[in-house]
Amino acid sequence: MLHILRFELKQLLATRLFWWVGAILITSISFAVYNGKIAIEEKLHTIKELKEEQEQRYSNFKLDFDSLEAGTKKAQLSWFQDPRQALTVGMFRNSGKYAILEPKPLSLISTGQSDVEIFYTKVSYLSDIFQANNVNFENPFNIAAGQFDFAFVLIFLFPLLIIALTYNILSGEREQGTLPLLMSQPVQIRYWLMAKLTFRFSFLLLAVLLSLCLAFTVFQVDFLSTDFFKLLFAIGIYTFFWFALSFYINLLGKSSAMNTLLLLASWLLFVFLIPSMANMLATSIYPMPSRVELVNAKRQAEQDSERNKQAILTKFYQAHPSLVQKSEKEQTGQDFYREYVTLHEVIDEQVNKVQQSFDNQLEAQQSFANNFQYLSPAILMQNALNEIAETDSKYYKVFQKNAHAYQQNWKAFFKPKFINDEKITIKEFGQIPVYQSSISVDSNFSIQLLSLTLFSLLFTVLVFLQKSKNVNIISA
Amino acid sequence: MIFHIAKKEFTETLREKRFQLSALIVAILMIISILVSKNYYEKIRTEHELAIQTSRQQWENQGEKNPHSAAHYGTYAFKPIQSLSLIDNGLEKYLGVSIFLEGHRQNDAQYKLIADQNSFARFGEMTPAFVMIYLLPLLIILIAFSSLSGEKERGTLKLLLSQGISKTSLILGKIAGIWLSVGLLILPLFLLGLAFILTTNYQSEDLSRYGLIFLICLLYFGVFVNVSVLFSSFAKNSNAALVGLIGFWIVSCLIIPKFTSNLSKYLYPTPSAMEYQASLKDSLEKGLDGHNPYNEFAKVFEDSVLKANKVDSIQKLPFNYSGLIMQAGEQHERVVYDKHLQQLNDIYLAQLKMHQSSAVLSPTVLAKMLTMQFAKTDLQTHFHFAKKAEDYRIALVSQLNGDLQNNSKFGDWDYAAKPDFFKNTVKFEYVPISLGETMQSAASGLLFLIAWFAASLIAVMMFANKITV
Repeated sequence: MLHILRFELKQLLATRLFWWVGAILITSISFAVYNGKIAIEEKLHTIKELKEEQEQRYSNFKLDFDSLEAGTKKAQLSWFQDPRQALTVGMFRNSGKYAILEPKPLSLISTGQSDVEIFYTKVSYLSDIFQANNVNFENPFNIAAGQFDFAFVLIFLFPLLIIALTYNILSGEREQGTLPLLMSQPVQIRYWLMAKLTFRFSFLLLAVLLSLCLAFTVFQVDFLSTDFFKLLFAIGIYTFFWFALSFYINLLGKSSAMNTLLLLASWLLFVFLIPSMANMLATSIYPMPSRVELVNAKRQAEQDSERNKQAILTKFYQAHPSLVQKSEKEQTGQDFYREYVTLHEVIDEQVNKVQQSFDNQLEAQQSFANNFQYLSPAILMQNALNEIAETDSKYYKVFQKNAHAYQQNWKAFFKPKFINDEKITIKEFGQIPVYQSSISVDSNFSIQLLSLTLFSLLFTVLVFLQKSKNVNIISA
Repeated sequence: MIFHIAKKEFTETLREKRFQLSALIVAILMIISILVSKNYYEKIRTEHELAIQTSRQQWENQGEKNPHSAAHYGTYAFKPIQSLSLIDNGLEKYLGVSIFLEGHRQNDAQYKLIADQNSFARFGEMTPAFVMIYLLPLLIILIAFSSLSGEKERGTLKLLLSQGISKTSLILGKIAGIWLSVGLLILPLFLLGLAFILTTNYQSEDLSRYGLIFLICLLYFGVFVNVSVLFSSFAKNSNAALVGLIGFWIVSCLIIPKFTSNLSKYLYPTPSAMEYQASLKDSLEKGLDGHNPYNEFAKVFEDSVLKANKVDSIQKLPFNYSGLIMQAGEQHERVVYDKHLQQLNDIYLAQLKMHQSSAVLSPTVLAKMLTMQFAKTDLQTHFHFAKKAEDYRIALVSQLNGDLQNNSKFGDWDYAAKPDFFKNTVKFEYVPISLGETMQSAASGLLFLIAWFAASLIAVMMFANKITV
């Protein structure tokens, strides 16, 4: 065994192919990591500015607040600028705090849905948090072409390198005429092949690992975490899958040319054909609910509630006997907004019902579509990487839910103030709700890796079933 | 002689199991993808037609309302689905489908389909264009990779040349033979696509557009035929030719587009949404705000209006000043929005130009860009729609402001337009981009593709004389 390995090493160092493979890995992984790093840095830069901007607004409020309390600034501020007004700090244009989905250092390995989903939103009393502000824009052609990220290198390009290093491990010997010599050695051909493959497997894995660590170090990525080990594990299994497949195809005993063709066809099937077919089938068997219909349904709900305006307000004033409904001419700003809030609560409730049923339909569609991932190791790997990077669509869905919950807190905090026209105390000013950035998502990572392992085992079993067949010793 | 070679190549290819199987797969995928696209097209078309009606009804039936409240209430413009999206849905998934039209603001199109899909939707989708642009070149490679290297390996090249055939005719014959097999497959598929388009709500222009898409595909396939024969003629053996060609395909289809998509962002950075909004807000504040009479520009405007009408206060004007200043504000806002959007679009166009230049290494990028342009599913068509929607928004809002100006008194915000008024407001009738306009923007890409075809043909011809036996 050791002999074979030593010989392999000598042979490999002598061939240019190995140096090429190493060079391709290092350059493509470095470029991919660099791209990821830039994208993350842009996000972090935006997040920093958002936080500064929010800090600025609320510390200005605080300054005004203090000076008003001390009685020094009263004359210069109109009522709608007074930070003791709940409306000023809870509803108007200058109010609102950000809900932010922060990227992790390892988010750079896979773009996932991060270039189409929204990662921050300003939450205030009336902000329509995920509809109106379209905060993620990028050239659609670029988005459609996709990013050159680590996931692309690993899922698309890496298997090709595996193919390049393994397509002729048996047929090559036969075509050179060295196979009969080998067969005469007291070593079983399967073990000999396995040793060769193990060597190449270790070489490739080591090359990826080193390139990755090198790129991470050069671009200063803080990568040492459990996620990194999850990543290594995933890379290992994905690599194993392609080796098992290649081993099987090699054992079929065809010519090098035929092996190349079969391996490339498998690559095409797993990374190209099945994913695009799955994508098409998932949406055509179970279509997504229509956004266009949603737009109008929400509007209808809005219009219906607005028609009941008078009834809603009468009910409100009955429930709050201390308040009196004034005519529009007599209303102060506060009176106007009290009614506005009351009315909008009913409208929002109706609109949310429509939105909720849409979201449920969409969720059902997505979980149906997700079943198609088990058709291809490439999809499984992509999803597993998205899980590690937390760029899978479900992270954004959870973020949206959290942001909505945060807005509910915000509303609950300010509503009594609007209704009763109370001023905010300095203590309450410090208690204005803040978004808690914890995302808990059911990770499918282990299921995905398990399925990947099953794929690999399938081919490993085929390898062992294949052994009984005779292998041609001499090329035809 | 060329004819004989072509005929021999053609019959041989047809007999090959490899070809039969892959041609069958391509044909099946094509048929499935057309059926699915057609189904999707019909669904979206009915949805949109219904949505356009509903949204107009909602607008017309808003009852008695102050016209300016109606402007804030707003309405929607829905982007119609194009007949040719059946063939190539281009960037449709990545672009919004509806634009909210309201007073004072120009909104972006909302609801990108891609944001509603699972992550693996990013792998690409099996559409007729996908089959044509990504899979058919593979089939061509499969037919052609051993066309000359095979003859060399079998030793039949010597025999052939000893028959007195020139190397040029041999190559031409091979190319013609490959074209016969490819044609046998794509001609029926082309007719099938045509049949499906005829069942849609197509415009007469769409048929010429479809013809042009087919022509683009032919040129694109031609590039692959030429390159395949070229590789086959100088490669050591068939295996090397195959590996080289697959490498070319991977570079052209996968690596270059992704590489350029990152590179173009480094050379022409897209502003972040935050920067964009901030500079927009900045420019908006440097002009008239219809809602803020204390703004300095509003003061200047007021003075000029008073002077022109020879009165000393806005109450004495013969019309409602609010309507006039709102409209003036709207005009300023539009100029600002248009300018910023134009700047952003210019960045996008510069990035697209880079993609086009990257076509030096990737004919696929050209084919992709051109087919989506002619299918009206590209960025340019989207801008066209957004611009028309914006024109409509301005027309509608100016009608609303006009009513306010002429039929109400200054300060009387209780004024409500009659319900009939909304029924008579302008309607949005979208006429898509014309073939002439598409031609103008597609011309350079088209020339580029023709150049690719010509260059690859010349290369294979020049190399033909250097084939060694």
